[in-house]
Amino acid sequence: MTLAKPRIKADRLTPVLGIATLLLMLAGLYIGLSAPPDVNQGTLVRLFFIHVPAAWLSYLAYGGTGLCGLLYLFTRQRRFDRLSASSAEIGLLFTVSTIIVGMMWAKPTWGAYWVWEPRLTTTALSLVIYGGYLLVRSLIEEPERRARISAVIGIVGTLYIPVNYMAVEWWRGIHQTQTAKLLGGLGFAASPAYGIALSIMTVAFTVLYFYLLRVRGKIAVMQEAREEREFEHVSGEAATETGAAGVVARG
Amino acid sequence: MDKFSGYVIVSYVVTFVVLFGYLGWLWWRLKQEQSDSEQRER
Repeated sequence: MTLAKPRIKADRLTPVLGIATLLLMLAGLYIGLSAPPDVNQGTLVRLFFIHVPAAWLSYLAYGGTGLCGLLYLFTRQRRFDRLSASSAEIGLLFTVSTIIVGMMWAKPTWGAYWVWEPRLTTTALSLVIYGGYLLVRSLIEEPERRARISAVIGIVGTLYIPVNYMAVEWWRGIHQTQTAKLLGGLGFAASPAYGIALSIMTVAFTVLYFYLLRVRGKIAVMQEAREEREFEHVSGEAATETGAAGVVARG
Repeated sequence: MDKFSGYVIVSYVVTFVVLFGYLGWLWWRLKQEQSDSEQRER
């Protein structure tokens, strides 16, 4: 049995994605921060340009976790498991960011940092789902079993996306309805003056997701190779001990 | 600048601290794995 070496090819796409993210973000921030204040919310409207794209990125990441989990179950290729885990970690991070910015928005508009209403509650639940996903991964050592179980959790967890997106429609809550309506006819529920900055920032966060996914995926390849080396080392030691015990018994 | 500017500044700072913090953590993990891999090869 040979040791699996990490196959890290010269990667040109990742730096391109990183530079594209940076340029798009600078453009989006410039346009967003120089946009006129809202009549009712004043400069608070500028939270729009980071809160919505961060929430979008978390949807994208959780969707990626489910999709890669599904692809893993069909193909049993380990790269889908690595991508699935990487995507969950990114999704979790941006959910935290979405929640913090949301709380900063909630305090001056609702009078409280946190309200247990449907959108916020389902968002908080996603931390439990994907935190649990990563916890389960850390508890299972056997790679195939870990990949299989986490793929199932990832697929089921993807249900969070439609539930969270539609929470503001299905249940009465304090959170405003969707800014960008994607179902039943496209619509944008904000001044067009903010539309350009929001679009650029959303594209920037989308590119950022793919950048982070590639970097995190590269680390996952190396971690997996290290795990295999450690496994080989442990099995080698166990085989030596068994052999030695056999010699002693025969002796 | 208005009475809400503090919330806006804190939000932008937190978002980018989280992002760059994560990038830093990724970079650190990448270096750890690379040095581990190099040590094994030697």
